[in-house]
Amino acid sequence: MSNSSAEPRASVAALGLAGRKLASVSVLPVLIGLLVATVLYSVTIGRYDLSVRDVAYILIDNVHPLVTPYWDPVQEVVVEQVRLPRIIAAVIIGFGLSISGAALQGLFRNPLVDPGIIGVTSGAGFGGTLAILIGLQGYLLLSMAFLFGIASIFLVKLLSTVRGRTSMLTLVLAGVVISAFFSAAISIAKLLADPFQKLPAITYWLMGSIASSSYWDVLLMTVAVVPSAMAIYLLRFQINIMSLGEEKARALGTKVVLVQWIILLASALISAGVVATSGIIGWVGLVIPHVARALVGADHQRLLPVSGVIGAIYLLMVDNLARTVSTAEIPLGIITALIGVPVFAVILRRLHAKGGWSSD
Amino acid sequence: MSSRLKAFSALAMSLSFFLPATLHAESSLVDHRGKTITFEKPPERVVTIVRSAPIIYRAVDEKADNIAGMNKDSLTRYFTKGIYAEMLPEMAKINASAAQDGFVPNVEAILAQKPDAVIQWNHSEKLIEPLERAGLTVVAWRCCTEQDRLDYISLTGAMTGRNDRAQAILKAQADTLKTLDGKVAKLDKSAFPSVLHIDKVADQIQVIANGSQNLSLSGVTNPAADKSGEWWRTVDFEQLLVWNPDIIVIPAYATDLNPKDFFDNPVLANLKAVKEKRVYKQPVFARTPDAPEIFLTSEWLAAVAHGADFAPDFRKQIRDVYQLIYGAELTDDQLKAIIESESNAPADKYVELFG
Amino acid sequence: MIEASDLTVERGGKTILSNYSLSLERGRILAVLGANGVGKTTLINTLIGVIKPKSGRLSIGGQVGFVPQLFEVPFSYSALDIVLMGRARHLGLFGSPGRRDYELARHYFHMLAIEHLEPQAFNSLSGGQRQLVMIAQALASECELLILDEPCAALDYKNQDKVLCLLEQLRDRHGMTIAFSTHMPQHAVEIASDVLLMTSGSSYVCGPTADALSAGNLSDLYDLPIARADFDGLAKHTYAPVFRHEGARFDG
Repeated sequence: MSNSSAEPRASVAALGLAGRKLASVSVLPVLIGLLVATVLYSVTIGRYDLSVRDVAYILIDNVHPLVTPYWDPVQEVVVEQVRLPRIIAAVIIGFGLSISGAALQGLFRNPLVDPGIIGVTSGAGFGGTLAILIGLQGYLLLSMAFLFGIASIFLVKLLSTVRGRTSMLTLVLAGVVISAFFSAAISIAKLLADPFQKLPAITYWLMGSIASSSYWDVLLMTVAVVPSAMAIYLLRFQINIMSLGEEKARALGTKVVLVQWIILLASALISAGVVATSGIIGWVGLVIPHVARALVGADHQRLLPVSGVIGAIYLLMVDNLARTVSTAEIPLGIITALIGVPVFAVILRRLHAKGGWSSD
Repeated sequence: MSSRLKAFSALAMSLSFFLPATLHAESSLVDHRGKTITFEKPPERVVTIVRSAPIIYRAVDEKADNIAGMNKDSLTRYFTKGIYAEMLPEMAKINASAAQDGFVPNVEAILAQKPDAVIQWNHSEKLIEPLERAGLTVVAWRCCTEQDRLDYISLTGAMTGRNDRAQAILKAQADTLKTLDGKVAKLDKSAFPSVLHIDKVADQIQVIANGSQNLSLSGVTNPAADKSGEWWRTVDFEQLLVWNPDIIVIPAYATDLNPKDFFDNPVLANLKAVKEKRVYKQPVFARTPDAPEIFLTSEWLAAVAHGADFAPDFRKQIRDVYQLIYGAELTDDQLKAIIESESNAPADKYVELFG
Repeated sequence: MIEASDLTVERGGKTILSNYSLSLERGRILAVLGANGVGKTTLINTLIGVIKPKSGRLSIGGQVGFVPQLFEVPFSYSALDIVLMGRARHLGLFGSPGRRDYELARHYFHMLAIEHLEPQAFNSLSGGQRQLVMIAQALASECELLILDEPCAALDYKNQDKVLCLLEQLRDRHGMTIAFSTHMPQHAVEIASDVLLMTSGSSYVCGPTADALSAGNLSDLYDLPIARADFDGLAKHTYAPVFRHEGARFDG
């Protein structure tokens, strides 16, 4: 994010030019401003009436009292204990899933790729399901999700790497296979689960919800997502090179295997952290990078942070919808699928109409 | 409400010679997490997420005034129709937004009720932590052994400051079961009839394998009991034929299933219980497994299995119990509805047994 | 610049090259010719270090810049993005281009007279333009040895001419050592100081163009009569295949 000031950018916005379809006004600060505004807005939504001013004062009060508190203590509880944790969680999850999706699309040279494709989401889902089945909760459940998430990455890499060369196509297929395997395992676990307590717990968890996110969940998510996102961002230039292909990347002097592993592990960590705390939330890492690419072009130096911020805003709005549109809480995974599938269909058609994904 | 409160305090004062405990407004209880919770005075606004808690609370407290909110499921299952809706019409007016989906709390809706206490299940941290994080006092209930059920009543007694009521209800239960036990003890254990509780009949059959009801109290055995600890078991018709129970009981909560469905089902015609028309619908006192009056079920089952001696003057007893617990005077129609006379009409000797 | 002796290279368990020796001095241009499948790509991959030889010695006296065969990219990177990627060797694992890298990239756009292509999508450029951008990418790595894999294969005559002129310019004005593979002996005639004729994985002819590039050697190479052709009214010649030769041989 810091380098965008170091070089002047071409500012023409015509078609056929490299997708820098927005003028030289830097998009990222605008998006970050939008994110902050969305966060403030989100805190005001809910059963309790709160204006943005109230919210701002309540939040600032924690740092430095600006005015004598005029609000009902219950309102403060609602802002800080009920709404804020899940808002922060939505931002972190949206950011993490989007930046990892963009990185994976670059790594696999395929814009139709999703963190779920490398099998990590199903693996972590199975780990968590197993934990619920045998009665584990909290950090033990988290650890199980992590372990199985990383395990599925190892399996996928193992299946698709021969003599040090990883075929991207085989990796995607292996991911599909491992995902299918863990999905079946989850089904078996559900069959074995006591239908009175465990099964509803498993089903609800798998559908994806940040309704009861606590600050501990937020902490764990942060520990999983932030360093991974940093690592991915640091590799932004390498991802450009990797998207040329393994052979060309090697020829340019890139440590191909190392870059692959770092990105896969970072993505796995992000996905496992998300699944462990909030269940399976899909379609974010797939769709958001496309929106970002349409905005700022394919160069990953710009694409990665922009994807992240757009993803954060997106998931935050989705969560607002989930908790307000009806009296029952709608799982996030369902909403992201309902939105993601038609958007994906549109993307697919556009790509096909342009004759493949070479011109994104 | 305030005049009732005055009447009540007058009564409490006069009873103070006999029941000094009720004068002490402050109460301390240990919930099923082992957490000690102290109330300076009985909480005036209680929100319940446990589905059966409003019933228990209303029963012990003798009024619904302190129940500020409940689980939506409580409203739909118990207070929109059926015996509880008839006996306790005021329950339908209670705000039912505390939980929308199972037991996941709707924290903002609960906060809007400004409760002094929340009654919630303890089987998952995710159910309790969001409430405590928001500064609410949570009394956690554990599910679902016989002792747990007794605890719900005594915990509620401590919360409401009505230990007298809690004791009275528990005593009625204990006395009945003791008498029953005495009678059953004289029976030959090896000749206990087998009773299968079936709540779903479709391509497969769902039976209760290990429920919380102590069937030996009624002098019967459960052929489906195993060591799995699982409450239900899904089996096929063949397994049913293998067990061939003497008696089939349909639990009260299986509202769509009746004895007639069994008698009319050609596949089941070969079962002993069906041939002898010993398929019964459980009375409404088992509508929720946590109901304070559920102990009547043991007596009822004993009578069905061994004859009217085991539930002498049952109709009068039911009236007395409902009077005690809910302060309700049951009409004849209500009584009939409670013991499911209509559903049980085609069953063997039901009318003779219970009138 | 390149010193290779007794190179044996395997791929997928099969021996592609055995006992290859070749050398190329600084500032000279090597043209590699051979039929399809003889191992040109394998040799090139070995020279740029992507494949490790099973046995033999290989030493390269400087930084290598590689220009692969004409390709398209999966995303709409700009030409500038593509050339910047050539800076990879100068940036660490977690590095990303800074001011100097951008200036350098721009410098090569200027040198190749393709500044107007900078902001355009790489995939939307013509074959010739893409080839020039790819050369700029390799140059951006500040290499001393430039290796090109069939740089003229997909180009029309005009663009082939541009590339050949550019390569010669790079050698003359910038002291670049160059090795490239091609299917047209004429390319070797035009700019190569040395040629490597790969007849098979184990037999080859290597030497200065004047000596090694002959009709006879070429005929052996392509298993088809190749004859020397002189241009009418120009002091230039080339070597061209004689199709439908009916068994004749031309030994120039």
